[in-house]
Amino acid sequence: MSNHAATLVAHKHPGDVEGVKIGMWLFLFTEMLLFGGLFIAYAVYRSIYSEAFHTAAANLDVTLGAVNTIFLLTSSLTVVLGIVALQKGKQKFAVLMIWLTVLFALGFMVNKYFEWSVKIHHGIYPGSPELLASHDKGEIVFYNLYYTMTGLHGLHVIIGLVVFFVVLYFIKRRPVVTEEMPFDILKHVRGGTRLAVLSEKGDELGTVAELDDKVELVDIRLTYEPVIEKMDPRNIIKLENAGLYWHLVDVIWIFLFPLFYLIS
Amino acid sequence: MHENDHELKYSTYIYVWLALVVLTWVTVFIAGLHFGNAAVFVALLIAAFKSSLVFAWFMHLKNESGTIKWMVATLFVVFAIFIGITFTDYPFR
Amino acid sequence: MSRHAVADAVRTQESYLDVKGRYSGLFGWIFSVDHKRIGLLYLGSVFLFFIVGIFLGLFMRLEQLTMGETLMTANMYNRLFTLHGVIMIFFFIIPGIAGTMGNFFLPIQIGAKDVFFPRLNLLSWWLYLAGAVLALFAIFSGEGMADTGWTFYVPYSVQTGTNVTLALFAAFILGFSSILTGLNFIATVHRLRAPGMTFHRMPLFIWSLYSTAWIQVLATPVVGITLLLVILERTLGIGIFNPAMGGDPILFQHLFWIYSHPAVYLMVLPGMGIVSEIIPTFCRRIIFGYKAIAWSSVGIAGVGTLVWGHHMYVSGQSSTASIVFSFLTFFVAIPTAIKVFNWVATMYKASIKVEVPFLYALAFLFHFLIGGLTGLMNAAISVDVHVHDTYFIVGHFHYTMFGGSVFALFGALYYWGPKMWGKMYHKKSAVVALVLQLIGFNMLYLTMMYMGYQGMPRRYYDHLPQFHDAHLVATVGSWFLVTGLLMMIGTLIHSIFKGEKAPQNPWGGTTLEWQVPTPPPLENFDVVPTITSGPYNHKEEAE
Repeated sequence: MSNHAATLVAHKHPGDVEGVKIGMWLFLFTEMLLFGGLFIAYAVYRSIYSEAFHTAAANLDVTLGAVNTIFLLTSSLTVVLGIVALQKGKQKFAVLMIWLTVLFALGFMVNKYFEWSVKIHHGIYPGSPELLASHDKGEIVFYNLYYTMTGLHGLHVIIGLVVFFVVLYFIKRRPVVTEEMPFDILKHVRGGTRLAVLSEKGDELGTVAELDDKVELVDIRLTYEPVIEKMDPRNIIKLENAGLYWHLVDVIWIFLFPLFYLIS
Repeated sequence: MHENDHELKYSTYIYVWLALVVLTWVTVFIAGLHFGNAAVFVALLIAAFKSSLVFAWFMHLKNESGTIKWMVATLFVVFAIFIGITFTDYPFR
Repeated sequence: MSRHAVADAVRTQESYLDVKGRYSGLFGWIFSVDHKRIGLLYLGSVFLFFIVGIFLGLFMRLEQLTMGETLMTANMYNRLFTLHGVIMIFFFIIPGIAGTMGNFFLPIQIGAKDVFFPRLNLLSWWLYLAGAVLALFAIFSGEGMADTGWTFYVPYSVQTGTNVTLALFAAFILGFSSILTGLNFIATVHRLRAPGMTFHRMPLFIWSLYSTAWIQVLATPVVGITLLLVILERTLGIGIFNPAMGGDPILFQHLFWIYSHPAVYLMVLPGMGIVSEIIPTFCRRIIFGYKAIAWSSVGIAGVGTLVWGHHMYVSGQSSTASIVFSFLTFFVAIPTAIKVFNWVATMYKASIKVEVPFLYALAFLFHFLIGGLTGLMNAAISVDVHVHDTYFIVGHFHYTMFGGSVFALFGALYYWGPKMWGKMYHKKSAVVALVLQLIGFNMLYLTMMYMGYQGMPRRYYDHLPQFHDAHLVATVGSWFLVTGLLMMIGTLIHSIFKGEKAPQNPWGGTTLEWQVPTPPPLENFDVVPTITSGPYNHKEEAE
C-alpha cells in the first residue's frame, strides 16, 4: 500500500505511453498552429503580391536551400535510427546517431548564418533603408515573411539542439549503485580477508582488495552499462518525444523550402 | 515495450529517407522548368507528400492508436478551415 | 512528499487540506502538484485580479457620472479600459473556470486521482504568475500601461509609446499557460477515466471542459504568433501588418479573432457545464437530453471557430466575407438553444429544491438569454454596422460573459465550495448579495445596451447631454453591483473560516465528487470506483 501510494505521487503514470504521446502530439499541434498563423499570412500576401514574390524569391540561393533540406532530412533519419538502436539496446550506436543529428542541425544553422549574412550585407533585412527604397511593397513583405518564418524556424532548430543534449545526458548517464556494508558484518571477517568478485557459477573473476584490521567499512560501487533489460524505458520515450519534435521542425522546413526558394 | 511488436529495422527508414531525398531533387528540378503559377501547386503537392512520409514513418503515426490519428486529422481540418475562410475575404476585396 | 505521509493520508482518508507534504505553509501550496491545491491557487489568483478589475470598471463608471472630466483625463481612461479588459479577459475569465473548478473537479468527476500531467499543471499556474508579474511591470515601468484596448489592434498598438510590448508578452505567456491546462485536460479525459466511465457517462461539466480544452490547444497558438508579430514590428521593424511595407492591418484582425472569437466560447462553455451540473441536482432528476447537451458543447466549439469575421463587418473586409461570416454565425444559436431548451425542460414539473446555486443558474439563464439573443442581432450585418463600437456591444458582451459565464462561476462557488473547503456558507447573506448583483447588473448593462442603440460609442471618456440620465442610472447600478460582489466575496471568505462543517453531500448530487469525503482526501478515491450508469441517476430518490 505505502509503496503504491508513493509511486503514484512521485511519477503518476509511468506505464501509460499512450497518454504521454497524446500530450506530446497536442503540444506539436500548438507548434504547427504557431507556424500556421504565419502560413496564413504567407498565403494571403502571396495571393496579393504573386508577381513580386516571384521576383524576390529569385534572390534566394536554391542550392543552399536544397542542401539545408537534405541536412534536415538526414538528421530526421538519424533520429529514428537512434530510436531503433535504443529499442534494440544498442546504446552506443544510439548515442552516435544523436551526435550525427546534432552535427547536421549545426550544419543547417551554419548554412543559415551564411545565407542571412550575405542578404544583410546586401542591405536586405527588415526595415533597412535600401530595402524600403529600392524594392516594391510585395518584395518587402516577402523578405519580412522570409526573415520571420525562417527565423522562427531557426529558433526551433536551436531549441531542438538543446533538447537533444538533454536526452544525451539521460541516455549516457550510467546507473551507479553504491552499497555500504554494515560494520558488524565485517566483525567476523577480520584479518587477511580478500574481497573478490565472483561469477554466477562461483568462479573468481578478480580480487578487489585485501582487507586488514584497519578497515571499518566497505563501500562496494557497482558500475554497469545499461543493457536493454536494465535500460530505463523512459529514456526511449524521451528520445521518441525529442524525435517527434525534431521531425516537426523538419516538416515545417519541407514547406518553407518550396514556398520561399522555388517560386521564382 | 510495445514498440518491440513492430518492425525494428533500420532499412525501412533508410528507404523512406531515400524517397525524401529523391522528392527534394524532383521538386527542385520541376521548379527549374518555369511552369509559372502551376509550379507552386506542384511544389506544395510534393511538400505535402514528403511531410506525410515523415508523419507516417518517421513520426510512427501509422502505428499510433486511432485516437491520435483522429486528433491529427482534426488539426488539419481546422487549419484548412482557417485558411479557407480567410480566403472568403482577400480575393473578393 | 514523503512516502509515509502519503501512505498515511491515503489510509486515513485525511483531507487534502491537512496532508503534511515535503513543504508546509505557503510552499506546501505553491509547490504542490495536487490538482485540488492548484485549483485553489488558481481560485485565489483569479479572484485577486477580478477584484482589481471590478474597481477599474467602477472608476470608469465614476468618470461617466458627470459630463466632462470627472476623475481622470481621457488618456487615463484609455489605459483604464485597456487594463480592465486585459485583466478581466486574460487574467480572470479565461483561466477563471477551467483553472479553478476544472482543475479541482475534472479528475474527481471522472474517477481519477489527479490530472495526467500533475507537474505540468503546476507549471501552468507558475506561468500564469509569471504573466501577472510581467503585466505589473508593464503597468508601472516606462511609459506605463498600454492604451490600445484589450484587442491591441494595429496600427495603433505599433505606434503608441505605452508599454504594449510587455503587455503583449504577458498575454503570450498567459496563452502558454492556458494551452498547458487544455493539453492536460484532454490527456486526462482520454486516459484517466475510471473503469466503466464511457464518454457518454461523463458529467456534462467534463464535456464542456473537454470542448474548451480543444479550443485552448488549437486556437491559442494563432493569437500567440499574432501578438509576437506585433512585438517584432515594435522591436525589429518587421512590419508584417504595416501598410507602408505592403502589409495589411486587417490581417491582424483576422488572426486575432481566429483565436479571440473561439475564446469567448472558451469562456462561456465551462459556465454552461456548471449550469448543466447544478440544474439536475436541484431538480432531482436526470437531465433532459443528456447527449444533446453533451454534443452541443462540441458543436459550439466547432462552429465557434468558423465565425470570427463577425467582429470585422466595418473593418474593410470584403462584403463576401461578411456575408459568409454572418451566415455561419447564426448557426451558433442552434447548439446554444439546444442547451437552453434542455435545461428548461429539465426544470419543467420537477420537484425543485431552491438553493443559492440554483438561483445563480437561473440568473445565468436569464442573462445569457438576453446576451445570446442580442448576439443574434449583432450577427446580422445591417444591425451590427449600426451598433458597432457602441455600448450595445459592451452590454451584449457583459451579458454573455459576466451575467452568463461569471454568474455560473459564482453559482459553482456556492455549489462546490462546501466540497472544496468543507464549510457551508451563510445562506441569507448569499441571497442578499445575489439580489444586489441582479439589480446592479441589469441597471448597468441593460442601460448600456439602450445607450448603445441610441449611439453612445464605447471607449469614450465623456458623453453628450442626451446620454446623461442613462449614464447616471448605469453608474448607480454599478454601485449596487460592486456592493453585491463584495458582499458575495465576503460571504464566501466567511464560510471558509467560520462556516459550519459541510456534510459529504449537502445537495443530494449524484456525480462522483459527492461520493468522496468532504473535503476530498489527497488522492480522491480510496478505491477507484467502477461506473455502471450515467452521471445524473436520481431514480432511487424519486421513487
